[in-house]
Amino acid sequence: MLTCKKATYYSSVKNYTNLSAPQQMQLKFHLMMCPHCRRFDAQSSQIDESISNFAKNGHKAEMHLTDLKKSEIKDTLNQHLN
Amino acid sequence: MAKKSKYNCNPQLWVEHYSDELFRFASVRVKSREIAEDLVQDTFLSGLNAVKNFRGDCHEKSWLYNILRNKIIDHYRKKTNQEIKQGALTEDGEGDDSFYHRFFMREGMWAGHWKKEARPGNWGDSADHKMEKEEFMNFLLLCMSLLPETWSKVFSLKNVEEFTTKEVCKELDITPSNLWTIIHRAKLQLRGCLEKRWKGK
Repeated sequence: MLTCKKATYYSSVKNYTNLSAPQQMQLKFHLMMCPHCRRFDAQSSQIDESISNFAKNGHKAEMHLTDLKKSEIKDTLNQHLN
Repeated sequence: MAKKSKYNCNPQLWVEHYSDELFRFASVRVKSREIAEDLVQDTFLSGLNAVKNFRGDCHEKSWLYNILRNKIIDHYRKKTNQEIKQGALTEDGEGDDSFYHRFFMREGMWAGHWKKEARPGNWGDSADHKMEKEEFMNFLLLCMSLLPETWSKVFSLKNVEEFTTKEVCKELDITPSNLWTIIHRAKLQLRGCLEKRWKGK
C-alpha cells in the first residue's frame, strides 16, 4: 500500500512520464481509499492545466510594464542608437 | 504600417508596440518582475545591435520573440547546476526529508501519510467561473514566483515551455529522477501556497 507521500509523487509526475503498470495500479488503489490524495491528484492536474492555458493564451490585461519603465527602456535604446 | 525601406525595422516603436506582450511572455517564465523587465530590455538591445550590424530585414515581432526566448533559456542555464546538486536530491525523492515533513507524518504507524493540518481542502467547482479562473491564475503566478529558483526553472521549462524531459535534463544538467523530485516538491509547495492564499485556509 502506497504512502500518501509516494502517491502524491506519482500524481505529480504522471502527466509528464509514463508510470509503469504496477505504479498505475498502486496509485489507482490508493486514490480509491484516500480522499486527501484524491483531492491532491485533481488539484495537481488543475495546476498543470491552468499554467498550460495561460502560457498558450495568457493575457492578463493588467500585466504590463509601467510607463516609467517604458520610458527608461526607450532612453536606453536611444542612447544605443547614437 | 512600416513602409518598405532598407531597414525593415523600427526600433523607436518597439517599446510602444511590443514591450507589454514580451513582458507577459517573460513573466510567466521567470521568477520576478524585475528579471522579466530586464530580459525585455536586453531583447530590445540585442535587436538593436543586430539591426545596426546586419542592416537586414527583420520581421519584428516574431524575431523579437525569438531573441527573448533565447535570453530566457540563457537565464535558466545560469548558476543552476550547483544549486540543484546542493538541493540534496536523490533517486526517488527520499533524501533530505525535512521538506516533506511539512506535509506528511514522519514516523509511527501513519508515517508518510498526510498530516492533519496539511490535508488538501475542497476547492470546489468554482474555478469554472471566468472571474474565479483569473483569480486562481493570479494566485498561481504569485505562488510560482515564491518557488526556489531552481524549482522555478524546472517547472517553467517543463510546464510553460513544454520541453521534453530529455531537453530539460540536458538544459539544466540534471537526471530525470532529479526532475521528478523537483516537480513533486514544487507541486506540493504550489498547492499548499495556493490553498493558503486563494482559499484563505
